[in-house]
Amino acid sequence: MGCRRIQKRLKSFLDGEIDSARKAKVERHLAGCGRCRQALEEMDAVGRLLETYEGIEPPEHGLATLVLAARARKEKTRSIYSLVRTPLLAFRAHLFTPYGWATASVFLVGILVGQLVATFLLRQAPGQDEQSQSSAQAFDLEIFSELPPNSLEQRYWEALAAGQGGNG
Amino acid sequence: MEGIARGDEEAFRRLVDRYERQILNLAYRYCGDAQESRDLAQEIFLKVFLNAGRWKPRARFSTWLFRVAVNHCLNHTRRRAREPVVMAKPNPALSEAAGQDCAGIPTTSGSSPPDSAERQRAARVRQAVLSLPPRQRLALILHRYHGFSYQEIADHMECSLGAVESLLVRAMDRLRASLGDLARGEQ
Repeated sequence: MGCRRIQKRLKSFLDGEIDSARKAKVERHLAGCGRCRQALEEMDAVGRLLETYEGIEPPEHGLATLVLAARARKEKTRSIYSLVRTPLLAFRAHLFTPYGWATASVFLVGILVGQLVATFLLRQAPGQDEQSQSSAQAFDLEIFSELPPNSLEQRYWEALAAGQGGNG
Repeated sequence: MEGIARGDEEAFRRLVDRYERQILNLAYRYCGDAQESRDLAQEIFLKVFLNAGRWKPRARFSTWLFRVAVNHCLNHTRRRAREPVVMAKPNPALSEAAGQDCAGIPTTSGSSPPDSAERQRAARVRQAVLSLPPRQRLALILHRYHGFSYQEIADHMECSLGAVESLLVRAMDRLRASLGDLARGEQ
């Protein structure tokens, strides 16, 4: 077995995760190969170095309290969310049944027929244009341009015109 | 677990007390940040609580728990990769000071490394572990710090024995490349 293959097995050899046949092969190779022995020692040293990566202590009051509080918050959010979500899910659940699709189809056909009927009836409505014109005229101020004879406003304007003429 | 599935909080507390140190330190060595690892551990236990009914007694509970933890850590990395970077990662060279993590959380030894050379060495080791690809890092942590066998790691990571061996060999190759000078000094 070459050095390359042996070095791939050094890790499992070091960890004792190798079967006895392979272990014997690795040991035979190591006995005659300084470079692989060096690699094995380096791996062992790296393994010891890894011990310096320390862990941390759990929170003083334990994680359980935090987790239960998080769960309570989640439940609360879920209950608010479910107000909207539940009817939507119910609709979705019913939609994927044969009756659900039939209901949805009838609903859509109903909308289309309703729209067609409404369009047809509006076209048939008599004098719609005339009604619109008279409404427009009612708001047109031009119809008040001629004052009724001998009205108070007529007399005011006449008196005003006479006064201006006298001054001039 | 049946009690937890029914919502028994006392049973859940006992379970968390038993496993919190292991899960917290798995998350901590995986992400390198004390606060983030607490959040991760909290999310992992919350998942366990909410999905307790899915656990089947044919599998060992610890296997199931570590499987949830491993998947959660990997998903966390995927999520983080999609998010824009908001803050720089904590400087590992500064974070081992005074026997505390950068968030002021005591480390397991509780004492400060005696001199700056050792502190720097610890920071380099930590950085080397954190720079491993996620799956290699997890395999290494499960093996080195939790003492799991290759077969147990394969169960936790849901992969073959050969895949675990390959992950660990590649992790070791990377660590030798980044820490080789320190390791040769150790010999």
